[in-house]
Amino acid sequence: MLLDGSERLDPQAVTRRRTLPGDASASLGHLLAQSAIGDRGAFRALFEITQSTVYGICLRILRNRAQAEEALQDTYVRAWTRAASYAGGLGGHPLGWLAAIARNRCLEIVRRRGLDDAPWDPDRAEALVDPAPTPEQDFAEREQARAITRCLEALESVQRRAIELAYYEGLSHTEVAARLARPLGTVKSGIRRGLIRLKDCLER
Amino acid sequence: MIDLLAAEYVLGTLRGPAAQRFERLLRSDAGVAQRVREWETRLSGLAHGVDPVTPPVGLWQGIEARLPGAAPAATSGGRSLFDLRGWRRLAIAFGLVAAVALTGLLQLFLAGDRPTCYAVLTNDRKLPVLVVFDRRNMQELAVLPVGSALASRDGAARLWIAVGARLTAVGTLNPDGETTLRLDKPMLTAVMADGARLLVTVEPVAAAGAAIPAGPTVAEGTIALLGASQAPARGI
Repeated sequence: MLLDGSERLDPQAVTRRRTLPGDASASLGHLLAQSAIGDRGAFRALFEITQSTVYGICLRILRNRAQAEEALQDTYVRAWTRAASYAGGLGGHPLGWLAAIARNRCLEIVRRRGLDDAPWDPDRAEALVDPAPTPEQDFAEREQARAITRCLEALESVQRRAIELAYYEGLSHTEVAARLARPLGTVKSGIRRGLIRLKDCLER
Repeated sequence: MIDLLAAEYVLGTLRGPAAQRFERLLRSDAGVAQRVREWETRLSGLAHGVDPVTPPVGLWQGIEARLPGAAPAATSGGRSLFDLRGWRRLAIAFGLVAAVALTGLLQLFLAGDRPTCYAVLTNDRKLPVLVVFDRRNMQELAVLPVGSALASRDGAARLWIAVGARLTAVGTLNPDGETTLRLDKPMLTAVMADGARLLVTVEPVAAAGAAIPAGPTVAEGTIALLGASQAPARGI
């Protein structure tokens, strides 16, 4: 895929693409470090590689294409500004770091919307999906994903479902309670206990 | 329970006035910010459960137009020159964590000897403990501590480079971590290669100077290039 639509390829970008499968996370880390010092070409490459994951996250929480597109753009503008703090080594994996910025932005939008007035429509949700290939992950990143999946599955059903609804769809306690048809108190304590157990499980 | 508030903030279930109060706390308290980062890392594995969706073409133009700062001068391959603004940003990011490191970084810059590579070495909790830079023109390696992570250790901290499966000692670090290592050209070239792996072990006094590590690894990281892949021209 060409970065700017022209026929001339940026040789650095092509080299990076070829190294991705073996060492994806490190390459994204390099692109972020480059971005931190103002390299827009590197940031563009980072964007091209990660945009479909970020868009998927935004769509699932906001369930509105126009808002998801805006949230996506906001996410990358923030990522550019904050790239230096990632380069400090505090950000976990680059994709996870971007996902956190994206989720945060989407949740800000959701919180400002007030009560959710778009009822969840499974048919509509399916229509939005336009599957894209997942960026290659390195071993450590896959392990991280596997670990949290394993730990989630070890939770009680209410705890797990509540945390998933909160994470993937950005639902509030009240909305989760409505979706699961459970009392608000049960959902609140379930989420808290679930988070504590996740932390314990991941530290093992 | 700050940790639980941080968890719910990252998850997204902290809302309304409680969320606003927490955000104020987050902005003012580095410990709270650290908790939030830890939860973001913990939950980041969930991001892989999202199905990627191809966005419409053309979003990049909107993003690029909003990126602060003038576009850097073009160089071959479209990569930016190593510039003061970016360097300050990087230095400040590290400086927020440790005043000692910031002083060292500014000194490096003011000396006019801009590094071409760096590595952030992290401990087993993925927190940065050391920053390593080359001072190529001086044939030196600068190692700067982040905080006082290396301060209380029994034994000598040694820096190693991993070349394939073999570890070669680079040098011994001062007790507080801040060290300038004078290296011969081949070692400097080996260490300052994009993707080279560095390790720090704590060696028992009796084993100091041995050819292979005897003690535990306390930090590790990978070298990354800064700016252009060739050493930048001297002078602003």
